[in-house]
Amino acid sequence: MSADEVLGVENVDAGYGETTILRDVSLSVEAGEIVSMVGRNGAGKTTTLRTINGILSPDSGRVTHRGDDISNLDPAATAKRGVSLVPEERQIFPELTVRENLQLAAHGGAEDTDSMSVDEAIGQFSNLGERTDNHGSSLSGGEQQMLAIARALVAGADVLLLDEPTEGLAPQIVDDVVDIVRDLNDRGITVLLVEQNVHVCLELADRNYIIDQGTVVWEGSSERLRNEQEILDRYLGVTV
Amino acid sequence: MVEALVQQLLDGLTVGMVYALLASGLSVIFGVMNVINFAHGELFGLGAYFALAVVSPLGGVGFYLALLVAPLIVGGIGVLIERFTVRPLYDRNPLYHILLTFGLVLIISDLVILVWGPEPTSLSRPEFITGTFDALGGSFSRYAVFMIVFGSIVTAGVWAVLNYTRYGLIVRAGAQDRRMVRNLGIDIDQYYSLVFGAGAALAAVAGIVIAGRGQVTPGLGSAFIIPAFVIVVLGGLGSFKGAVLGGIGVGVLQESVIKPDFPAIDGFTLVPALPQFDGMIIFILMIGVLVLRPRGLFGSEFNEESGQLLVGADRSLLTDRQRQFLGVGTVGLLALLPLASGSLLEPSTVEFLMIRILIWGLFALSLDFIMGYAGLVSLGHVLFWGLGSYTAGTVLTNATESVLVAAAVALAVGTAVAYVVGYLSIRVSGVYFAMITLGFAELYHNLVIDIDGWIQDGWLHTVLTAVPGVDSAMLVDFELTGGSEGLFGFSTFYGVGDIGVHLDGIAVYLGPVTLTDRLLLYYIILSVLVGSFFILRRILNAPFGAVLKGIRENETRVQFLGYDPTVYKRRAFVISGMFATLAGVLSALSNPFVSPGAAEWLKSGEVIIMVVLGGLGTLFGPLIGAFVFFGLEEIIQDGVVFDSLRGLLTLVGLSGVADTIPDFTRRWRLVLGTVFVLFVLFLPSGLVSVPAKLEPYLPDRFRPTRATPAEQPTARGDD
Amino acid sequence: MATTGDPAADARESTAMLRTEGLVKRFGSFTAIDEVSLTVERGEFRSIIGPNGAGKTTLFNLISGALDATEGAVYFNGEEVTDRPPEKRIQLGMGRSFQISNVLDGLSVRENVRLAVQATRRDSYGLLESLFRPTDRYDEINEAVDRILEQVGLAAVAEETAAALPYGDKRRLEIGAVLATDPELVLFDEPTAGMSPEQTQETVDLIRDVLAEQSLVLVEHDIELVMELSDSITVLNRGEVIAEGSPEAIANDPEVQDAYIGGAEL
Repeated sequence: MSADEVLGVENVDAGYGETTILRDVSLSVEAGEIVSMVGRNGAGKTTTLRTINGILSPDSGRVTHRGDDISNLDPAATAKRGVSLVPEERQIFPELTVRENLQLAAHGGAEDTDSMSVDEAIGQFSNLGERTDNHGSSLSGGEQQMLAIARALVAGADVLLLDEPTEGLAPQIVDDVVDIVRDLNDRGITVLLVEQNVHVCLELADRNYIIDQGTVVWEGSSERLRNEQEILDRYLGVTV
Repeated sequence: MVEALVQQLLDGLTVGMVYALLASGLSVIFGVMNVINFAHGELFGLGAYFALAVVSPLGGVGFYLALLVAPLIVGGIGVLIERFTVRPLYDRNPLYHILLTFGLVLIISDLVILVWGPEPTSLSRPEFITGTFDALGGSFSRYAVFMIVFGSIVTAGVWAVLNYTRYGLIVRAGAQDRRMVRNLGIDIDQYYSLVFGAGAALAAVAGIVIAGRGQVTPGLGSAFIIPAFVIVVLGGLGSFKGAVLGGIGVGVLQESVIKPDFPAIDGFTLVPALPQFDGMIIFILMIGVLVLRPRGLFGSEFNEESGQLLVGADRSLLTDRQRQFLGVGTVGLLALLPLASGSLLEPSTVEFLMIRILIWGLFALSLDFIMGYAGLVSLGHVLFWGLGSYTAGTVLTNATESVLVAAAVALAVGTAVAYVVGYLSIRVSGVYFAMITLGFAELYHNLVIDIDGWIQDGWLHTVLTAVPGVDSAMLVDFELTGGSEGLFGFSTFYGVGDIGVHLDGIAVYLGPVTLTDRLLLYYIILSVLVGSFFILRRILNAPFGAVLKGIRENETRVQFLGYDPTVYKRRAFVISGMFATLAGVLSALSNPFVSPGAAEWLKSGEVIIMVVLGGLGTLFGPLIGAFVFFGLEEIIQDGVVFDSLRGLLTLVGLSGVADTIPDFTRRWRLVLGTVFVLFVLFLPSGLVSVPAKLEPYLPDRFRPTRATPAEQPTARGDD
Repeated sequence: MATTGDPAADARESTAMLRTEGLVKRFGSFTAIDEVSLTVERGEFRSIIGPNGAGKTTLFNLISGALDATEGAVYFNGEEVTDRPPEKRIQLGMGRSFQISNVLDGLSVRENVRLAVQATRRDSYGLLESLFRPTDRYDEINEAVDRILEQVGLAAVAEETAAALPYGDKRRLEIGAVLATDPELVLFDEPTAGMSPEQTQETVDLIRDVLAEQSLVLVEHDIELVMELSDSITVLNRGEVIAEGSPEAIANDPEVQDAYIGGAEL
């Protein structure tokens, strides 16, 4: 373990009931990094995030945060440590307003970090500013994604677990999400990103893990990955 | 005229306020925790009694203090209930909460009688809110106005807390998506106790309001809980707005629109017959709303989290052969029982207790057929018991003495009603199904009380006299149900035409043993039960039963094998209704009288208890449940156990402790409720699961030889 | 799309096993399936692939009747089934296997298969028989059950409770139950999800073995598997069909590559 490691997954097996999804997965995220997990759907990326976040507990192996074993913490406890999941479905509260979604987050999460305030979040995410009194259910996909990220920050996240943040978004909005994530990272937020869109990963990530059938099959920097056409094809493309 | 209208409106608003306070707590508790709290009505009653405890020593002025203190105490009790009984059940099917809180109803209602006695007491009020005041040219009840204002303030306060505080925000978010609340680092579970406590406190406020209007009686809770549930369902489960608007709406509708006859208003008769439907209107409303809009008026889409399956996997230590042997042995023993009557057993044991157990065993069996095998929890099964009893009673009173004819008519009526009720109910599922069946049963309960009045001089009288050949004199004394008195003194002839037997006065002498008419009746009932058992078992082993078991496991899967689950569930409901009707018929024959008690919702609860006590999803479980239920009642009422306990304590010199043991003989529901709550908490698969639980401790030769399935409970749901 | 103007093609469409015509499914303002028209021939093995959220499972739900289509039509075996409930489609010969193993856990392996066989023989017994004649006295059904248990290799564990089966055997049972409904077309939703490579191979062999005659439609993530098995492939992205053709054609389609590796130009 390096001294700067914020998040560690060590030889984890995990799954649902009798179905094992992850087999001996190990990965490590250092402070200030953006690390991506890429792979086809069904490869085990979301399961990895859920195991870190505490919705699932590893069947074997362990998950650490700043050196402490968090394998058996529940999602609330994990979030209180500043590790916050932004789920794939975004899970905006449909009947709360945008402001209430953020206020709720301000009541939860980490106590010791200096989290973003509700007003800062509304200022930061400009497109939310105009919609503070609208219900969550009336937001577009892009707005929901922005709100989901903002909510995690207001809850005091210093490690963001982003699950497919660009899924189903128009190219223009994808660019906005990429800008926001880079911006946050510049301000010291560590990011573990799950993406199917390899361009997004290459653009953002310092390092990438390729997951296939529940195991890590490749690890390396974005520059290296860009030049590994064979790897890209084998694990992510459709060429045989 | 204006005065009368305003007064009626005030009455409606007062009752509406009570409903709103009661229903909003229920609804929010459901929204946040998915708990159906049947004990809410008892908490409501407790509010009134604690107010009494405060007011009695202090006099009328104490009333204001009581409004503050009683809700706090009841809220505290609510917190304790949540923490120690509700909390362990969160990961189970929400239907377990119905069972648990029903047990709590039995406990609390008996505790109330134990502490405050069964007599109604009136709650004195301060001078200021007694009497009337003059305004608008009329005089109005001060109390009504005070209570409407006070209730509005409390409701607005709760609304403000929900909308403008951190606590309210978390509660509202929790009602929408619990998992995401946890993801944000909020321990939503910590808030459950508070929500439950706050709901209980609101119920207490409602209880005090209603007590100040009339009297405090032990039946207060059970009188209001059903309408409150109807309102929650009407307004949409989980919706605060729906509960408040629904509560006030129903209150006004009931008290201001339907109940008054508007005598003061000349030429202004809304619908003349409307007041005659007084108690029924909300049930009709609920059934109508659920059929047309299954989520209620203000309810949003919500997913019923299914949690653990209601039924444990059916596995037994006994081989089929051993089981058969045991079954034959039990029936043999039951058949020999009357021979011991009068010598080894008290005559009343077989003649009354055993007859009752067998009839209820049949009733429980019929419920288990849909609850344990098709996953349909009916809270209104008493409907069929009532139909059976009343139809048989009516036929025997008005048409013929033939029991066979009466039973045939009753079965035909029961089957037809089961088809219609099933047709309307099975399109909704889970909690809504439970509520809609309850609605039908309550509708029927009201009908049997009211219908004679309608025929004798009500709207039906008007309708029927219009039929040629029917004159008023024929109807005035006509008794279909006997109203709130019931039907008495019909005689029973076991046969058709002029072939058959009258059991009355018959005795068969077999040496030292004499079989009286009651003992012969016992044999008739025993054979009906055994016959029904075999018919149901046969059905479950046939293709139809195989589909039902499949539906219980996973309805979607069965649908994708090419079956229409709705059709199968409806047929199962009809079969179940037939056997429940039969149980009702037997009950009328064995008494022989029928009273509205035969259609009371508590019976539906009791039969559910028996099924769960014995073991859902096994045919012999409900029979064991009925036996244990009444056996326990008998033992408690007999008092021997408690007398010996007192004797024992006195003997060892603890007479002080012995004196503190209350007289449980009349409080058997308290003991039963406690036993039941313990069952739900610790033995959810019922008594039949005891051998399997003991299995690890058994010597090898008793263990089953076949491979046993994995220990973990089967989970329902496909993802 | 209804007519192509080519009489030969029209004739072929009318004898197709499965045909969808301009299928649309909207959830609120979100369009999950957008004007999807596809035709699966008798005996064809078709795979549907696409990135997460492309609408593959939704499409399956529309075809099998688990969801109602907002617009468009579904034809099965030449008959329109758009408004038919799932059980009717199954009765007409459509089979469906689920993404997560979906056997009836509390029943025995034999009962699971029997329930499926029984569904196809409903016309051979009346209501009273179905209520009162014990299941072990239907010889024809039970022989069929035995045959299927043999075929999927579960005869030895026929009396076990399904819950007690290891995961691989559960999938076998699932396939057996689908086979038992006597389908002409089977919709497979990720039959190998969560399996090791060996288990995957076993499952594929089993499907090829027991369902050789049927038309198959497969939703699958494992691209190698799809390339190996399919006669043709349909690629969905954001609810729309973006490509359709032989495995080779799809593998070399730049638009497909782009949809898979990432849709946005950066």
